[in-house]
Amino acid sequence: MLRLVDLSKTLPALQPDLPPRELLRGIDLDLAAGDYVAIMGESGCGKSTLLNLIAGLDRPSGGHVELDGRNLSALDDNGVTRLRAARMGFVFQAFHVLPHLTVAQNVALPLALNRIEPIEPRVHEMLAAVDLAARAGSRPRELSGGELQRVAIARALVHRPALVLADEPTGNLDPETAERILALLRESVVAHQAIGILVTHSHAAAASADRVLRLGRDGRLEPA
Amino acid sequence: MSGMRAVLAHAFLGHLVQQPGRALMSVLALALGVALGVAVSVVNRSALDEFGRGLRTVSGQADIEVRGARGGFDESLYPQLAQRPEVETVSPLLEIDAKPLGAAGEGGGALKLIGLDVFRAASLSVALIPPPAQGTGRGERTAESARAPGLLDEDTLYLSPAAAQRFGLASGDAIALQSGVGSARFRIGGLLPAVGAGQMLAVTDIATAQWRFERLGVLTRIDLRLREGVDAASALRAIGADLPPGVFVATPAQAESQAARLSRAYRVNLTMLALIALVTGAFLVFSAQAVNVVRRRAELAFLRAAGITRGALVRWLLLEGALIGALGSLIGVPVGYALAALALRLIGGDLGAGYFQGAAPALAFDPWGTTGFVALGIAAAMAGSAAPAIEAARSDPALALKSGDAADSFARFGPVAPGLLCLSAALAIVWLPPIGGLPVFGYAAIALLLIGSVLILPRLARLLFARLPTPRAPWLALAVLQLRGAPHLATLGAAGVLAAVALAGAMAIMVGSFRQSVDVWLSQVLPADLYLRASRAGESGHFDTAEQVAIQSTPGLARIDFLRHQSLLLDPALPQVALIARPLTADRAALPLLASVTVPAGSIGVLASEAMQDLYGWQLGQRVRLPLAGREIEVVVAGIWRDYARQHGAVAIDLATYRTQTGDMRVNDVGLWLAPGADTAQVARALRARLPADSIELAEPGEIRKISLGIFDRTFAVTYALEAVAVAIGIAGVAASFAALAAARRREFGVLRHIGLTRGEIARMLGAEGALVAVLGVLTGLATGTAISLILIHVVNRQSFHWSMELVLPWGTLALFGSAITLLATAAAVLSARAAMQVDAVRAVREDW
Repeated sequence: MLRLVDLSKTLPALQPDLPPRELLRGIDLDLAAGDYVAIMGESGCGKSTLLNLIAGLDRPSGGHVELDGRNLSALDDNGVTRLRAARMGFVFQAFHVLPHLTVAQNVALPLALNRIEPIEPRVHEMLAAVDLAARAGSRPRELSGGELQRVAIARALVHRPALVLADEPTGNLDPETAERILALLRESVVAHQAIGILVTHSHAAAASADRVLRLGRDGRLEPA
Repeated sequence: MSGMRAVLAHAFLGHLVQQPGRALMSVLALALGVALGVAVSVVNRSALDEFGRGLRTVSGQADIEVRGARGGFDESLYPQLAQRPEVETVSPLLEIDAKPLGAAGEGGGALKLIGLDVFRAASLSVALIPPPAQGTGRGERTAESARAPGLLDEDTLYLSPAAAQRFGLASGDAIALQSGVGSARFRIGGLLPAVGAGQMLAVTDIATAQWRFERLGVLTRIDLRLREGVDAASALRAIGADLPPGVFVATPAQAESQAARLSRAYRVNLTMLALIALVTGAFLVFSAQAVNVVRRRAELAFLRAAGITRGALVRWLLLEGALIGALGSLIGVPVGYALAALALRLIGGDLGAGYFQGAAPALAFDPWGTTGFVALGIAAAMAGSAAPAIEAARSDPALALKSGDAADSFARFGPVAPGLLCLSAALAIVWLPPIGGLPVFGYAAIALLLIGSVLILPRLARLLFARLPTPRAPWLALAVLQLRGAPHLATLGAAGVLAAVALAGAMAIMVGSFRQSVDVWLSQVLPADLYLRASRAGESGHFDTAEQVAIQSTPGLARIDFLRHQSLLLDPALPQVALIARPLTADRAALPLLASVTVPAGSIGVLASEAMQDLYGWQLGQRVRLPLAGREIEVVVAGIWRDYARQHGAVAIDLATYRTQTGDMRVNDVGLWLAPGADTAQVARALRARLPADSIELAEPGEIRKISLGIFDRTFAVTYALEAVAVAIGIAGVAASFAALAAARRREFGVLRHIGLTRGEIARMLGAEGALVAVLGVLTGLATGTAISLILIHVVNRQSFHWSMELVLPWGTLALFGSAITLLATAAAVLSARAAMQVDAVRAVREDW
């Protein structure tokens, strides 16, 4: 269960004669396991900031984030990091698969961090789920963009997180591949009974979600 | 500059201006290398200039010099030469290194006293004749002024301004110089203003010198001016053919070159030490530029995609390196001159080695040396930039423009063949003989060894890291996997550590081995309980027969060994050889023998130092001829001994044989063994009561050992300093490469932060990578350093100084050194991680921020 309670973020003024900028204002949102929502908005409206607040990578100016009943603001940096390791998964636009690890090692990373055993069967199962079992020993440089994003999805879900955050996951992919990746992401999130939040500019990508929310210039999050 | 060039200059060189901190370490390392090189070169130039000036002051207008050993030759040669048809003017000289007594002698050191025939010298060595104001006051400084009352006085000498200042004396003061164990007192008649500012010498009449220093009938040198039209080369040959054994003829230029040869090996080795800093600086440039290329991969790929050719890319990146080298040189040159000035003031022109006594050189401008080191600084920086530039040019722009493929950088520098080729070449050339007495191939082998080791480092890294087990702790596992996945990147940092550890380790092993060998050698050559000395070789002190009898009659002595130090001139192109006359027992245990043979009955056996083997080709059992007392005697090389005191050769002969052959009954040193129960202090008191106390030196072996090792440590102090520099540069290399690699990997850190690694775990991960890279660098550096130390010990030292030594591996020191380097490298890596983590992990992974 993810709860955003009266969440706000104010950025300090860039110049002394300008007022601070309220990027996010009074955001309330409740999401349950299996929910899959898309958040849209113009560039610079605060989508990524909202995602960072949800992930505990940034601190809100007001309100708070709760994941599974735990207030992220009440945790220190290490506490949030541990929570992130255990309960969250991430998919990025630029894939960010670690180049010096094999595909299997990349996917195994969250399991190792959470000391989940046995690692190998879980990794194999996850790679099979994203149709990459045959590429387990490959290096990232040997993979296409679509394959890299599938590795990223496998890595995001292998430890069965409660929350999967995807930031423009198809921004670097061609439309056909993007469609397949979006379908896979949705299937995987739903199959793992995780909460999925997809941040995107793309209407096509947003259409893959159950619900679409729009972050306005006024910092409020409303149904699209 | 065309518009295109201006844009490219901005693209390539602009980042040096915008982010000078990134190149700062490289610039400083090169500045240090250039500074040390320039300092050594300038000090050498200053010392040699001053030394040469000193020789020219004495030789003056002479065309030819006839020289013998320091002990001199019979003065009957003088009239023979004067009568030769090719000779116009002849000037006989007696040079004595006289030991000042009393207050003037408190600072130690000898005064070079030149006894000359003022009537003859006035036309050849005008600088040595006092000016009229101090002599007759009648006219110019010519033979007339030589008639000055005082110059011919038996108690008058004239001092150079530098000597007057050094000994705190002025015109009219008195000075006592040691003669035997007595003293010869002189009045300072005045100064010799025409003698150069750095020259410390005194002049007196030759008859006075011969008489007051008991050298009647002896000369050490005769200067000749040839008649006009006489061919100098023909005259040299003709005169040389008629000279007695042990006396040679040379031009002043040849004599100067021979004198310079005295210190050449030391000077060259010092220069090589200075180059170490430059070489490690080049490795730092390599590390920094390599990582720079990794970090700017996409930018360089874009430039390639935009139409910059591979060649142009290499040229611009080399230009970056040249700029870094030029900046380093610009800083290094003035620092080098300042260091040289400081060294000349504090430790003298020989940097503590004792080659240029009697000269106090002033700082000289050394255009060639300075230009050479500036060029070397730029070349080192360009050499360091070459491999990264080639790597950048070879990269596929399309691949490089994709983020996250930096792991492939430098992967093609993995082939092991070039490295093995360098190592094989080193092994092949290291056995070659010296060129001009210098271990050129030894140095080349060291360079090849170092380059070869660095070139095979990626392969070694791959082998080592592939065998590491994957630990359970995720941060440690990630560190191992990173190194396993990109070992070539790890070697960028390890190369600097390897170079620093290899060079510093090699010096530590060599110096440690040398010190240990000297220590053992000292205990072998100092077997007596007490040593008595009248003066060092060539100086004016000695014990006559009467004093020897007085010593023998001293109570409390069980055994007495008298030693006579003389010198031999065996080859005019080489420095003089020491002749040591001492009792040589039947088993010849008196000296540290390395090999010996039995001497055939009726033959005279001598023991030769290793330098005699190297310089004169003497072999065990060989019959050779020695010039003694104006004639040649045949001797057999009965043994080869180790002599760390004299690098230009020494021959030991039995004292009784020496006396029979030469009639010279004087001695310089005495080894004293106490009778059972005798007290050292009591014996010393008894000796002082029998001999003039201020003319003798008494020392116990422990004292001599301590002083000798103190001198050794001072001589090698400069090497310790250079070791420290090499290590500092190596650590800076690790820090620079880790900082830059960490900056290049900040996206990866951002991903890891997202996935759930804490900042502390990422710092530990980088620390572990740093430690493993440092361990790789330290292990390969120690292996390379040990190999280099073998070359230093068996090739460079042997060929430069003709000293062999036993290899001693200071395991404790090396282990401590390796651990310290590893710790420092780990700390540098952790600090670089901290800096990288300051970049927001979140921002690092966002491309649409």
